[in-house]
Amino acid sequence: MASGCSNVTDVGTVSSRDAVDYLLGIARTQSGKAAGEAIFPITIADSVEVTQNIYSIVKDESRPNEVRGKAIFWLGQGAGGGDYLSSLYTRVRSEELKDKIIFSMSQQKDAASQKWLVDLVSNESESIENRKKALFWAGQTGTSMQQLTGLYSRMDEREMKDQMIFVFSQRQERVAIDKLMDIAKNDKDRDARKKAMFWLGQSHDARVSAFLTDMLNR
Amino acid sequence: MNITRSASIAVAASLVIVASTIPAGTEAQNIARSVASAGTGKVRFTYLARPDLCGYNNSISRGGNNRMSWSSDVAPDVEYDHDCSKGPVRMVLYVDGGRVSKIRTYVGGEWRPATNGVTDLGAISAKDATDYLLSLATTDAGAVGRDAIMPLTFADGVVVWPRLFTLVRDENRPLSTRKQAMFWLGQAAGEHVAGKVSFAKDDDATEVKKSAVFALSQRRNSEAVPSLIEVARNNHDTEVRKSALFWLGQTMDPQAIGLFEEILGSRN
Repeated sequence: MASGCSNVTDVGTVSSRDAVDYLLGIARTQSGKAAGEAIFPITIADSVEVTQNIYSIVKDESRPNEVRGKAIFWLGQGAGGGDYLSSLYTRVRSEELKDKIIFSMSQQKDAASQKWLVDLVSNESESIENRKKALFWAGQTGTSMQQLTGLYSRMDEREMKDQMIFVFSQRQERVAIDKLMDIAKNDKDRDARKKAMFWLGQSHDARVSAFLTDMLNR
Repeated sequence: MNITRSASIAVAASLVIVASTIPAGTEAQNIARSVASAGTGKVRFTYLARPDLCGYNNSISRGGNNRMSWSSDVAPDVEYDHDCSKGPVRMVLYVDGGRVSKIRTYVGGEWRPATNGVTDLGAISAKDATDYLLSLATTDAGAVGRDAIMPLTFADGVVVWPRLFTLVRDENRPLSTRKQAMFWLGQAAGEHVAGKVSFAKDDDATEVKKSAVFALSQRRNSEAVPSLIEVARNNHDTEVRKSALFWLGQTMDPQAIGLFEEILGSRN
C-alpha cells in the first residue's frame, strides 16, 4: 500500500457488525459533527439491520437535534422507514425535526407515506406551517392530481388554498393547468382566482394565452 | 497657475461639447452653458408643471394616485410645508467637471436657500426645459439620459410624445433610456384612455381582469402582445385597458409602440 499521511493508522478490514457498533457508539455518545457524520456509513453496512438502532437515536431526546436530524434523513432514504418516521412525528417536539420527518416521509414514495402526508395536510389540529410543508412535498412526490384536487375542494383556509394553487403550478402536467384554469374561472374566492391567474401566466402551457384572453373578453 | 489654465481649457472644451449637443432655444442653451461653467456644483431651475401633479419630499403624485417615490429621505434641495404641493417642476442638475452627473426632480415646495456651488437659473419656459432635458436624453449614455425622461413628461403645455417615439425607436440610444421612454409613453396612453377618471375601481371583476392582464404580460416571447393590444383597444373596462397599456409599456414591442402612437397621436 502506498504510504500517505504519517498520522493515519490503517486497521484494515473489520466486520460490518463491528464497524456498525463502533459508529453507533459515536452517534450515541459524542457531540459535534462526527456524531452526525457517523450515521451515513452505518446505513450502508452490508448484512446488518440498523433501522431500529437509528430509530433509537432519533427517539433519544438527549442527543443533539443535528444528530437526530441526520438519523431522520437516513431513515427516510431507506425502504421501510416510513412506519418509524410516522410514529416519530407525534413524539418529537422540535419543529426542526418535524420538518425533517415531513421531508423524509416524502422520500419514501410508497402509498402509505403519501397517505400520511395527505392526512397531515387535512389535519386542522396541526400547524398551518407543517400542513403547508406536507402539502408541498405531497405535491412534489407521488400524490395524484385527483387527490390534490379533492383536498382543494375541502379547504377553506386562505394560506392552504394559496399553497395548493402553488403546488398545482409546480406540477408539469396538463391536468394541473386545467385545475388552475378552473380556479381562475370559477372559484368564489377572488384572491384564489387572482393567484391562479398569476401562476397561469408563469406556465409554459400553450393554451394559457387564449384562456386569459377569453377571460378578459367575457 | 497651471491648474487655473487647465480648468479654463476644461470649461472651454465642455462648452464646445455642449454647444454641439443642445437644441437652439435660448434658455435651453443658457442651461447648457451654466452646466458647463458650473464646474462642480448644482444648477437648478423651475418650469410649469402639469396641473394634475403634486409633490412632497422625494415623491410625486399624479391625478390623486400613482405616487412615484424614490427615497424616504427628506429632500435635500426643496422644502415642503404640506403634503401635496402643486408645481412648479423643480430640476436640480448635479454637475461634475462641467457635465451633468445626476438629476433630481421635484414638484412644488420651495427651494432651500442656495449654498456655495448652486447656480439658480430661476423659472424658464416648459418648452425650453423639455428641449434641454431631451438633449440630455438623446446624448447621455448613462443614467442621466434615462432620468431626464420623467421630468420632461411633467411639463405643462408641451407635447413631448413625438420626440419620445423617435427616442424609443432609436436603436443607437441605450436600452435603459429607450425603456424609460416606453414606460412613460405607456403611462401617457393609459391616462389618455382613462380620460378624467382618476380613482381606482375596486370591484371583483376589474381586479381579477387586471390579474389576467398581468398574467398575459408574463407570457414568453411576447406571445400575448396582440391580446394585450386587443384589450387595450377594446375592453369595456377602462381600468383594465389602462392596465394593459401599462404592461405594454414594459415591452419594447413595435406593435405596442404603434398603439401608443395611435392613442397619443390624437392629442397632437
